[in-house]
Amino acid sequence: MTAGKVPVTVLTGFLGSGKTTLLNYVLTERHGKRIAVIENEFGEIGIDDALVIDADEEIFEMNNGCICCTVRGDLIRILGNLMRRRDAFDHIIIETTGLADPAPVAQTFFVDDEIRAALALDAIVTLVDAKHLSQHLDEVKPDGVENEAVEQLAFADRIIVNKTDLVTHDELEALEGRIRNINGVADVLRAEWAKVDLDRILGVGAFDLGRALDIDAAFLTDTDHQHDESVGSVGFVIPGEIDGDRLNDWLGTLLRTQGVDIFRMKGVLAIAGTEERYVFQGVHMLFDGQADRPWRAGETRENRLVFIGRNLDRAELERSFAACVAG
Amino acid sequence: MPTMLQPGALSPTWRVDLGEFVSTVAWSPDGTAAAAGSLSGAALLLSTRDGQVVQKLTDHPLGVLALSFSPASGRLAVGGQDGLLRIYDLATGLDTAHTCGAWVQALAWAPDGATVAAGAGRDLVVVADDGTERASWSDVPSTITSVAWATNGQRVAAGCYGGPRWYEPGAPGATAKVFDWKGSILTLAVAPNGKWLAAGNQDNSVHIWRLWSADDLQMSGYPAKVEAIAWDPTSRFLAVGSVGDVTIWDFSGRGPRGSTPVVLDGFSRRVTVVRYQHRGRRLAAGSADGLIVVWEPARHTLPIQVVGTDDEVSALEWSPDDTRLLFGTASGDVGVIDVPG
Repeated sequence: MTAGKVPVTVLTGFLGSGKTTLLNYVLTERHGKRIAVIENEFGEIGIDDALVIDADEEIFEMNNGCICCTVRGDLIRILGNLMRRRDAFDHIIIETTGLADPAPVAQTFFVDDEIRAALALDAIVTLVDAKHLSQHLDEVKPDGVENEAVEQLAFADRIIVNKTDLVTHDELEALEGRIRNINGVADVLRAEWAKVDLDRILGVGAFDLGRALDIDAAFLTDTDHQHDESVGSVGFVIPGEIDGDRLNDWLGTLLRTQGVDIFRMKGVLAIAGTEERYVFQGVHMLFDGQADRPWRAGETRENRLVFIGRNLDRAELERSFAACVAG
Repeated sequence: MPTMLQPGALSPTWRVDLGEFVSTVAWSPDGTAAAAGSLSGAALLLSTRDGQVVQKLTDHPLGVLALSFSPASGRLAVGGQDGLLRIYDLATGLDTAHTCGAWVQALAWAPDGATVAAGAGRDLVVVADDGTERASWSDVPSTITSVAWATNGQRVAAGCYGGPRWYEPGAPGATAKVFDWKGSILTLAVAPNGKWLAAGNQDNSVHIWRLWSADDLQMSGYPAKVEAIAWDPTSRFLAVGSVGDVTIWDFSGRGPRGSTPVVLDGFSRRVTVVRYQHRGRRLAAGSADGLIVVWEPARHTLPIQVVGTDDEVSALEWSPDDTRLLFGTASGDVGVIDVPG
């Protein structure tokens, strides 16, 4: 539930993708709202009219050094002091460095209880430069190092393709196809000068389990997509009701064996013996789930799941999940 | 289910409104003055008799994070999110400002009161009471969240991610003694007998090192990150504030390993601060549900005093004579209450 919590938007994107332009646009359009910006990029232009706090990326490993449970120590301190103020903010925007891994930022909101209680991670918004994205995606990284552009697309709830005026229509279509190959779930928006409909990126509740997880039906049934990137997204619908114990075992095994490779996951499940839908989401090995609204009369009890990650095996995920169906 | 604590009315000797989250409070060593700082950046020096403002201290834009009186030299150190460390001479009211360049998150005076150690970002600095820098180190691997002196004053510890690091102000070039540990430290406390260092951590644990063998032990499985810890004056007991309760570990005999702590419960939310008396056996705690509670845990787990404030208790300190408590709250109240004898 996010009632009473201050929404926090995480803004990622390479240097030059237009993050500062977007920030200034937000601050102008949302004039009168109290917005705090936590900035992480040196060398970009300043921002007027907002409380701007400099952060210095500090990644802490939690749980005895498990690499998928990393958090941002600097954000815990900065957000901690911000939310303690009675003079509260309407919205907080965290701008990450161009090369930042979004996982520790998102995981901070799962791990720290005080932050969980007061703030709601609203969405990860990734801004890309239409002209240079392909080049960034093609960059070959040393073994074991993730391509940051791929990572930022994979983690996103909203992707803004900026500077569309610098490419042709065909180039844009091809680029968006490539983006959807990596992340078939995120909303993709086009922009010039970072001008987008702010209602589509702010206050969207992408991490809010209480809101319906709107998983695009077309994406879920699209199985013949060609994936040439190692990072991609997989979604499927499995009819029937799920056995709770088998689901626990399946999830435990999945997170233990593939948690490193699963960047994001979401789902709406029908669990045998319960009247409510079960909704969940996760970032790497961190998992958050709860009972949602009751299934409606006439609504088909089925299970919708979405994964975004590295080397995902659709057939195996679907098969192993289907084995959890009760009966 | 534990029985919930039932607070009596708060009847403070005096009360002052700072208007914004009180981040830190302190008593002067003679007990006549108190200092309080808030996240608005305001800091006040108050008379502890009636709460009258003795001096309005210089604002630290974005917030005061730490303040501490020298135990001996008539100075008050204040650190803020503006990256400044100000040292006030209480006799004249004048201050010197030391630019640290990053949030001054933690302050601790050396036992002799002649120098103060400050953690500012990843730098540890030791500054004399006249404002001159005596030593500084920049090899701390992550932001310093807490600072603590060894009881003999020869070493000072910086608490950070990666374990506490001990530096020698008398030998600034010497290599730091590192208690290597993979975890993020939020607060440090040295036992008064100089034998133990305790750390409250982000990973819901308390970690203890024996000084100086660096043997260590850990109490894990707290329900939330640990930010409230305190040693009793005899160094036998370590109190840990967590969600719903305070646990007390006994370090006598074979130590707490494998033992069961005493539990003081009845809070509905997080215990934000725990403080033992300077010389007595009483323990005071403040909580997010607005309670100030005093026990004498060695005699009884039922409290001596329970009072309710109207907001989270964010700071709490015993008077030097152990008879009164100075408190601060999340809504900006600062006040003093008497503790029955």
